[in-house]
Amino acid sequence: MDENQVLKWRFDVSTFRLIGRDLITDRVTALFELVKNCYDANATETTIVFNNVGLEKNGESSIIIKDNGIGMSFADIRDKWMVIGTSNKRSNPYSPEPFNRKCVGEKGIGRFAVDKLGDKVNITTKQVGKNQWLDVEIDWEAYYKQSAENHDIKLFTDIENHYEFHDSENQNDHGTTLTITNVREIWLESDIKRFVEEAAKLVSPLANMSYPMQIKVVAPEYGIETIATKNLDDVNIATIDFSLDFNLSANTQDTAYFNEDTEVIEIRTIPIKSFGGIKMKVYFFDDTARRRYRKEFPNNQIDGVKIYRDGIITTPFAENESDDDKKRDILGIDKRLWKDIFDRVSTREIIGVVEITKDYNPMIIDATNRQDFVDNEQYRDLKEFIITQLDAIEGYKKYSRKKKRKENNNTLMSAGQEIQNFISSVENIAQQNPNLKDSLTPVVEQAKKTGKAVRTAIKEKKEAEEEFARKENIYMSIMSLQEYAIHITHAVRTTLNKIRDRVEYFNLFYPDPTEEDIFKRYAKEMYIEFLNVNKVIDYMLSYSQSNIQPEDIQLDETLKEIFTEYKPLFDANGITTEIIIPEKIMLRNTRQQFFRDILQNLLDNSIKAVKDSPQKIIRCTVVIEKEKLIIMLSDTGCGIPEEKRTWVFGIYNTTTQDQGGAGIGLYIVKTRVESLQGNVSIIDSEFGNIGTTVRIELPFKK
Amino acid sequence: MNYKLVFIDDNMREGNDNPFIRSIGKFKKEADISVFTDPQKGLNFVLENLNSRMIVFVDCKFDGYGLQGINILKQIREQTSLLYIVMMSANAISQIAGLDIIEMINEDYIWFFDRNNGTVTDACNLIDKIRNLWTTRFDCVLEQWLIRHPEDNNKEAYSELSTGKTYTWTDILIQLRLQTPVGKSFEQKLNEYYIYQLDRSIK
Repeated sequence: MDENQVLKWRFDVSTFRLIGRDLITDRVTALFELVKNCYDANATETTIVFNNVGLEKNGESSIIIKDNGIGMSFADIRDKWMVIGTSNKRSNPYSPEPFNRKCVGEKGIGRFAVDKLGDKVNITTKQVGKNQWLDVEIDWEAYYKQSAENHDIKLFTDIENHYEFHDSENQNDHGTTLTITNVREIWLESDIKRFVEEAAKLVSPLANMSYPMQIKVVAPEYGIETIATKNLDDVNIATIDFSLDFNLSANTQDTAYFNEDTEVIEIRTIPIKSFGGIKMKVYFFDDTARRRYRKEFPNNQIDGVKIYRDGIITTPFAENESDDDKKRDILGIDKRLWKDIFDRVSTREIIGVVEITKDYNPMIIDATNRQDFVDNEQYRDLKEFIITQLDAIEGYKKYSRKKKRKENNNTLMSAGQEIQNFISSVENIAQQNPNLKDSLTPVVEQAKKTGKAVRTAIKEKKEAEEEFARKENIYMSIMSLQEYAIHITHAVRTTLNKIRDRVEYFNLFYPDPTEEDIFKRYAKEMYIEFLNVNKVIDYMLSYSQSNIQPEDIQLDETLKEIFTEYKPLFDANGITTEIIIPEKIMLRNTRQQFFRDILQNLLDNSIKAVKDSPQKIIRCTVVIEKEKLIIMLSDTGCGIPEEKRTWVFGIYNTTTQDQGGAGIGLYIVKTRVESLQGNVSIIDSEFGNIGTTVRIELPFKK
Repeated sequence: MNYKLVFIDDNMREGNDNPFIRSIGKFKKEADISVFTDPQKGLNFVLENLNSRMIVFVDCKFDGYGLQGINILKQIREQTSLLYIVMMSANAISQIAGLDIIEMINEDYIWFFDRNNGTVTDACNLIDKIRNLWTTRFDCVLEQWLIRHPEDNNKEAYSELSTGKTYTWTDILIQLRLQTPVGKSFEQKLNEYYIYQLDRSIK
């Protein structure tokens, strides 16, 4: 073919920059990319030195990235490094033997990263066994100048770069040093600290530690000389921690929960979830531990749960936002925070490491914008699983708060007693030594005053607690009413729409003798719908008439009453019910409304749960065991996964969001049961493999 | 000018005796109305009849079914982008998940009907509005033409060079409605041809 008929793609230096800047948005990410390359090159030590990068320059600015990795050959530089768009790592995802590290810099953007950082770069590299170091110099600014001065399009691909070899003193030396000069942007102390923080997260302390890489960061002008990489011991100042593993052959995944009886976080196993088996370690820091952590790791923050793939932090977590408030909360942990401010765990209190692998968790995929994962069912399940695990810590937090309050109470009570003892002792001394009486009288007077103040304090504290409990009750009532209002409005609206369609038909087409039957039918249907609306409203009114004063109740009758009120709903949904109460049960000085709240919320849940079941049964069993009253409510519904049996009792935690569940029902049940001095739990279903059984235990004296 | 009106809504248990459906039937006598309470059956019907002119009313929420309104929309759109779809909901639009709304907005030929506040007249106006669009659409113009000129139905309209396969005008209409590569490319070529012809005649 004639040479004149051939067209070639060529591009100038600005195109290169344009692509680079789209790929790498900030300098910390750029540097991070280069450090990733060191890791991929089997480096065990990487040092980053910042020279004169701040505002006050005392010499030439440079950033030096020096590693002891495998280095590059001349051919590597010519055919790989200098060819835009290649990524050797794409075809060969593991670093060379014996490290076999899973490569990180898959996208081949290291070259762009260099340009982002500075105008000029010098690459010095050597492979083991070679007797010469290779030096390559690349000067982006010169490219620009040339094209500007010549008023001519100077193509990037036409520019030649200088290289030379020089002898090595030691044949066994190896590694690559990138010296970036004419640093493009100013690096403040905070920028470097931010980089240290990122670099610390490059490799999980939980990863296979056979071939760790240490990252050292040096910035003489800010007095920084620190090892960025963390190891497991760095995080042992946590208040509590737990680890989860999985077993592929047994198809089990660990899941954590807080056991209130043993007062510790325990692990149980569930079948491996859709996203595949994962390892997870979570460290929780209370106020004291947080202060200690900040002191020991001033460069680090406690910043939530991060996901590592094959030992390397996944990209959504690697790029950072300097403003804490804007900091991305990819897993949605803080998004739930406002809902229950006291007991929710926030990303400021935990460090978590979730270990996934390409092989076991192939469906957790980085999104192309590098800011999240691809939204698929497996990722949603993973997020939910991670948040469920935090519930164990929330259980611990709640328990500790309660314990602390109790301890405070005890301290206050014993303080009162100790003052009394003190007064008696002093009075004793005064009796035995009459000459001291005058001096001791003011001491006794003062102690009596203090004793009185302590008694008042105890009284006030008790009143404040009662007031708090009362307010919490009101709050709960309002919330249950809100959920209730949603149900009611939906029910009323459906009925009204049915009536509206029929009225509209009358309005449009009446009279029409040929359709007399249809008009009669619609009139009848409207009447039935009116009756339904009436029923709903009666039910709503009965709710407002109840009170929460202590009273004696006949439990068997109350239960039957509630089931009778629900009969229309049971009938409409084709649900069979069964109540098993062996005897009449009288409860003294209790709260009827609490039993109603408990039962109604449980029944509402069961009705939702059995919706799609072929056999719809709800069964309530009441038994008396020693000094305990046991109420069990079982259904043949969709069931609650084992790992969520504790979680579902938390406020706003729901497994039926799609059906309008707001996650308030079981919370009310739990708080009501607790205010009756009982406890509630989800146990294995009475129906075997299907459904749910909720077991309530209340203190009971015949 | 017959067309199909399809309603997929689990609340319309009375079928054709549902007052809303009856009212529409009285106003739109030329329409052939079908009602489905099972979303899967409704979707199957629509997919089997893609070669007819049709407006599909789909409820957004189906209690107790895995298949939801938005899934029906997506599955229809996988087959054709031409079909007119009216999403219906008894919930306020603010109660519909944001992502679902985005999916709806990003589709062509889609409308929303508020089942709480919309009257039968509103629904009929919406149907008229959609039908007005038909008058200019190529597949509808062709359909009208073939009704007026039945003798053209089996005439060869197009022959594919690569395969030698020939298509009659009736075949082409089906290909257009199903949005097959042949249908799309035929419409494009024909439009280009007319521009070319008009351009030449002006000169």
